[in-house]
Amino acid sequence: MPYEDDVALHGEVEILRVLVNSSWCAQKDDGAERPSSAAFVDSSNEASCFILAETDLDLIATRFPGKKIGIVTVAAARDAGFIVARDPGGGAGVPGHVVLVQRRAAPESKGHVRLARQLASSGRVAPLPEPRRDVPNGVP
Amino acid sequence: MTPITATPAFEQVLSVKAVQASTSELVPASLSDTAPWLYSALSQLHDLQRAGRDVPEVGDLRIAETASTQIRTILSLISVRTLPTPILYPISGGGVGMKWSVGNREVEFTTFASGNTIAAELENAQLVDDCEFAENSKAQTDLNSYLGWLVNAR
Repeated sequence: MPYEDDVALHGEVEILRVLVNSSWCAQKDDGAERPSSAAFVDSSNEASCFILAETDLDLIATRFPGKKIGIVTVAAARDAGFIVARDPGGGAGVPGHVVLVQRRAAPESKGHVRLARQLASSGRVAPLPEPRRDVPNGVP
Repeated sequence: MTPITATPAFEQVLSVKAVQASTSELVPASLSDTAPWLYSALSQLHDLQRAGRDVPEVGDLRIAETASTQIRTILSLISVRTLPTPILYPISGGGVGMKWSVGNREVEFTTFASGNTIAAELENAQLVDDCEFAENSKAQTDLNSYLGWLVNAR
C-alpha cells in the first residue's frame, strides 16, 4: 500500500528515530550532538520513526537500553522532501509509528542522501530514559 | 664416452644442507601490518554482517550481500597508500556506510542494499562534492581523488 503524507501532523510536531549505531550521531560546530545522514537514509525508502508526543519512551528505552534518539520536526522532514506517513501496524507494537518516505529525490540517488543530510542537520539528539523494570518489553 | 650423469649437474647429494635465512626474524606480511585501515574495514564489515538483524522499530540492519560485495570492490580500488581507519556502520534496509575523517574533512560512502553507492566529500560537515559510484575507470579515479583530497588535509 503506498504511503500517504499525514497532513494532520503539523510542522512543529517532533518525530524521533532510534539511533542504533554510534555513527548515526554526529556533532555540530558547538559540540552538541545531532543525528547523521545515515540515520535517515533507508534502502527501502521507509525510515521507521515515532511521533514523540504519542509514543512510549519507556517502552523504547526497554527495547533499546543505552541508545539515543534523534529528533526532527515534521516541518524539517517535509522541507527535505520526505512525507510523514502513519504506519500503526509497524513499529512492533510501539505506539506512534510513522515512516519517512523520500518523495522529492529518486531513491538511492545523490539527492536522496543530500536531503537526508539536510534533515539530519536540523535535528538534535537526546538520551532515552533509564529502562524501567516494571515496563514489559512488549515484543510481540 | 662420459655418461651425462657424471657431469656436475648430476652430482650426488651426500647430505642435506639446511638453507640459512639471512635473518632469524620472520617478516610480517599480514594485512593488519601492511594496510591496517583495510584490515579494520574488512573486520568491521564482517562484524556488521554477523551482527545484523531485522529491527522492526528501526529497519532491517542485515547487510545485503550486494552491498557487502560493493564495499569490498570499493576497498579493492583504493590506491592511496596511507589512510586512517574508516568507520563502517549499517544503513537500514540492508545497506552499509563507510566514512573516513581527517581533521575537518570527511569522505563518506553510502552503499544501498542494491549496491548503488553515493560518495561524498564533506568539509566542516558541508558538502563539497558528491557522485554516484559506478564500476568503471572514472569511478576509481573519483574514489582516489576523494581520498587524496582527504589525506591532503593533514
